[in-house]
Amino acid sequence: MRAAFAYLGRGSWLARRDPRSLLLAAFLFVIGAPQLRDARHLLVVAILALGYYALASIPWRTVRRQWAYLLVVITAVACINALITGGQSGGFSGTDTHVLFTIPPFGAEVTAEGLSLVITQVLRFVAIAAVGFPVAYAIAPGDFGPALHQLGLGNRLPVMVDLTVRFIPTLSEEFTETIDAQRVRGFDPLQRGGGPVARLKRLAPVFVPVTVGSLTGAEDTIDSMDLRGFGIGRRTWFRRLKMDGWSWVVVGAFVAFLVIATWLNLAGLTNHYLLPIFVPN
Amino acid sequence: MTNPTTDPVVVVEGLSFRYRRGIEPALRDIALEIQPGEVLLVAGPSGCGKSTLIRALNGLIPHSYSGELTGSVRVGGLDTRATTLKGLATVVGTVIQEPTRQLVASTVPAELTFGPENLGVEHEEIGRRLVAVAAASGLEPLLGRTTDELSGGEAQQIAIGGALMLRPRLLVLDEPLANLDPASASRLLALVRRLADEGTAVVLVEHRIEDVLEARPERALYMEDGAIRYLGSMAGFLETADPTRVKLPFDAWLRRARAGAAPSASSDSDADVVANGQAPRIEWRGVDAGYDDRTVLHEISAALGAHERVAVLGPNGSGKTTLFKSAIGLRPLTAGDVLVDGATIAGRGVAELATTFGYVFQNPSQMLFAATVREELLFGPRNLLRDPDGFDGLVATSLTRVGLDEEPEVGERPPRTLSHGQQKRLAIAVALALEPRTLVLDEPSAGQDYRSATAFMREVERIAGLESIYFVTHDVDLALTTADRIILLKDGRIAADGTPHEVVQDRDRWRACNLRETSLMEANRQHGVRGSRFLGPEALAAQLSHQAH
Amino acid sequence: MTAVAESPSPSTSPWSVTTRVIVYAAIGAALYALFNWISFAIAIPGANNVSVRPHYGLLTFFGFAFGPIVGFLTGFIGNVVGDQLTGWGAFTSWPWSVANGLAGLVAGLFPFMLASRMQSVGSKAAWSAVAGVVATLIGFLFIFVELVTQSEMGFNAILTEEYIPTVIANSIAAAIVTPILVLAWEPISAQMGR
Ligand SMILES: Nc1ncnc2c1ncn2[C@@H]1O[C@H](COP(=O)(O)OP(=O)(O)OP(=O)(O)O)[C@@H](O)[C@H]1O
Ligand SMILES: Nc1ncnc2c1ncn2[C@@H]1O[C@H](COP(=O)(O)OP(=O)(O)OP(=O)(O)O)[C@@H](O)[C@H]1O
Ligand SMILES: [Mg+2]
Ligand SMILES: [Mg+2]
Repeated sequence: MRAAFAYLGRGSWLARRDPRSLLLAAFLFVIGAPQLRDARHLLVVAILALGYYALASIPWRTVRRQWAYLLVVITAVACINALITGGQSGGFSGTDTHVLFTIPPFGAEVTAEGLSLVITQVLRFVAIAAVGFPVAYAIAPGDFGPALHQLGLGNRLPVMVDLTVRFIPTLSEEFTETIDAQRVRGFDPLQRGGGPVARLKRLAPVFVPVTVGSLTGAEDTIDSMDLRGFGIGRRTWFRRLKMDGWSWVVVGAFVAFLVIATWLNLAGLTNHYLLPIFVPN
Repeated sequence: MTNPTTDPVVVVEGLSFRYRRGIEPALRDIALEIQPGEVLLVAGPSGCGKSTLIRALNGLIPHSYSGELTGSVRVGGLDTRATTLKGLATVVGTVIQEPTRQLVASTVPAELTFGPENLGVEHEEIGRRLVAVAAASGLEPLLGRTTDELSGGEAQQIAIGGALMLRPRLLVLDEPLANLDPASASRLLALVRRLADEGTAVVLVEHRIEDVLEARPERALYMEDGAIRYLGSMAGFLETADPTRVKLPFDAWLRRARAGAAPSASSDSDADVVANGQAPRIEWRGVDAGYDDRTVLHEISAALGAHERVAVLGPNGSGKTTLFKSAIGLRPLTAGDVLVDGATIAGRGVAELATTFGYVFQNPSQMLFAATVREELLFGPRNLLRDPDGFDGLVATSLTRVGLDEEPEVGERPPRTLSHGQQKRLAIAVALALEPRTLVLDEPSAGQDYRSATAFMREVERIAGLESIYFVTHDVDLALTTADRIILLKDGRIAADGTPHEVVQDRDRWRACNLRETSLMEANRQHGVRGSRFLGPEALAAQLSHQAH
Repeated sequence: MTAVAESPSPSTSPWSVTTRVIVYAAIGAALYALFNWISFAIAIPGANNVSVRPHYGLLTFFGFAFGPIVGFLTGFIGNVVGDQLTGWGAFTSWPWSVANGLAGLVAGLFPFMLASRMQSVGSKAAWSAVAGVVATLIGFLFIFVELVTQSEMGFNAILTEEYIPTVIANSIAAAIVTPILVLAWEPISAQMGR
């Protein structure tokens, strides 16, 4: 088993854009989208976000598990939330909710307001995920450091992120080797049963060697960085990312989205919307 | 004013150093000058201070390792004590022992440019250097790769390239050949020679002298216990060095034997003759095996006897490790079957198979996790629900069999605080705690010096109660002098299988498997007895000098 | 005449960012991301995940053993890169990344406050479990930011559906795994020191 990043190569339209534009897009979007509360607004946004997602040409096969997971889990959470709150959070007042039916044991009420909130929440999450996937699938792992640097995050954090990316495949090989070595001694990685505490303790034969081994190996990495002059002072980056016209268009579009979402929010124009189809006649 | 082409690059005077946690000094009164364009070979047994000397040359001592330092080190005219590591980075380039740990970027170009970037070199200049270094070191084919896909040899080349990007006047290499197959090693040594011819001074630490002769070092420095024992011409070194301490060409043994040096007590050929026609312990029958996306082993058929010593040799990535992992159930078979003691392994647990043949992984630290050596030893027996009443005896015998019982209170020590050599022994004791009759060792000699590697194998051979030993190695001489039978693996297929004499017959095949033709092998081929096993250098030299009389 | 030089021992300020801090943080983040990827071949963007995640104990250990900066980066970058690895994208679950980071950071403050009480390895291990739990309780308060980012979620819903289950599961992991790693690392680090 070897951990590999989700990156798909430079084949897609988004993968050919400057990675900074994708990062900025996702960043602006997670600030903008939560400001929208009206399910109709979020429907439009989700459709646009899925259009953007399509530009990353991610094969369905590679993301279907994520999508399935997302829809199932987020919907479940939203539904439980709606039951707990009875649709009374998020700006709907509690005075005259439309109770559709109650679920027997505790008398939890399923309301039209609650269902509307479920739809709103799921739409927002679908939109955020759609803008998020391209960050994983269309940015080369090696471009993370340079992109963060060129976004103005200095030198040390980008180098640290680059180093993280660099370690992951190596550590995953060491992890596999450790599992093999312990299996020879009768360790069963798939063993079930026991409480959570017992299960955690059983993992020590894997966690300890991999963690401690990578920490002792770090001495060589530290030396190798110090010996090549890493540290304080001016630093240059050879890899230069370039914003092409389309990259600016991407950034511009997401800036515009943030501005509009903020305006709608501040002007009070995007409040939770009771979906008429849920309201009993 | 210093003149970079004629003045010495390194001037060391009265250098002594004791690590903060060290009791004894690791370097004692070292005096040394190195000229531009010179390759200096530094050799000596494990722990003699080679790596410490390198740290003193590149400034890690005193800037990163604290301790007691006396004397002075000047590199390129700069006093290492008064200059920062950043200041020294443009003068000394270093490649440390472990190739994969020193790569810090995820792509090859980023790795190469890391140094100049840290020093704030301008974009255009870095680009020029990148082109020049890649061309000079033959790295162009690697420029599109990510660092995790590199083989050991390629990683080593990139590490050197990364050091060269800073245009150092001195390049220090700490055991660059460890884990490299001969083809990769030759390429690397040719590069070293060329750099020296262009004016760089090179310090090359290596105890396998025979292997580095290709770089034609001008001088050799031999150390013991932190002090210089020999510093002078390479020819003089080959004349006088002690072949039991460093790995020298066979000539050196012969010369010593002819000079009448008494053979040491440990003779290395206490071979017990193999019983033929025995039942096999492990038998592969038309086995294919591999990883999710690719088959590594193809149609493997072989039977290893219950009373044999078998060595498996082959290039990096040829499937040596996978071969034994398939037999112990760690890699599923995609075709064929493996029989252990005549019964199929299908449906048998990994650990249960390990009670028949113990498997020792290359890197012991990848499995040591327990708080004490005792707990570490008992992990396997506990998992197999062995009777706890026998545990005290089991711990004691396992430690005795690997010679760890001499260490005081060893049972209560945290395993990882043992020395590297002791950890290797502990790994064997861990395998022995399941009371197997056969031991499989993956690269037992990796990371050890010549003397400890040979001595280690001799100790393993003498472990009481073991019927057979199978091992994987890159060390040709170790394989030829230890095994009764050699299996050559190439591209996942068995390329040859027979006694050492049979297998080395076909020179083309030998070279095609990326194996070195060593002087010992040559001497055995010419003068050796057509027995099953090759003679060790000492025995063969003794025999030859005897015949001469 | 030869001068004897005692080189200085490494700086111990909790906030200095040395090469060592960067490398340890990168290792912590890489391990966290990797285990995240392994234990849930598909990780969940956000919590909603009540099962105990053993690798959570890594970030409290890295914080406790190597300080607040390493702790924060292990948790924060570990989660961000973990989401890259599993495909979700770096920012998709940012409140959880920040909460993880804060937990690592808080765990990293303990050794500086408790130095005098942690003379033996045993007491250090015991305190590391306490530190792990307290850090979790504090760090994950950050997910109440969802009151803003997901206005549909009420305080009670976040508390009962997200905060409490996550904190319980992660506290268990922190309380068990942190001391195991501290016990394993202490003797080695004592021996390795430069
Ligand atoms: N960081 C350290 N702290 C204390 N002692 C050390 C340290 N590093 C090395 N030593 C000790 O200094 C001595 C010289 O070690 P050094 O690593 O230089 O040997 P070496 O010749 O490179 O050995 P090898 O061939 O095994 O690499 C040894 O006794 C070793 O135990
Ligand atoms: N966990 C793994 N996943 C996928 N491929 C692997 C894995 N381990 C090894 N391989 C591949 O299988 C092939 C055989 O590997 P193996 O480790 O058996 O070679 P080897 O002969 O032992 O090499 P070396 O001399 O470098 O130890 C190699 O090409 C390697 O890249
Ligand atoms: Mg060394
Ligand atoms: Mg191998």
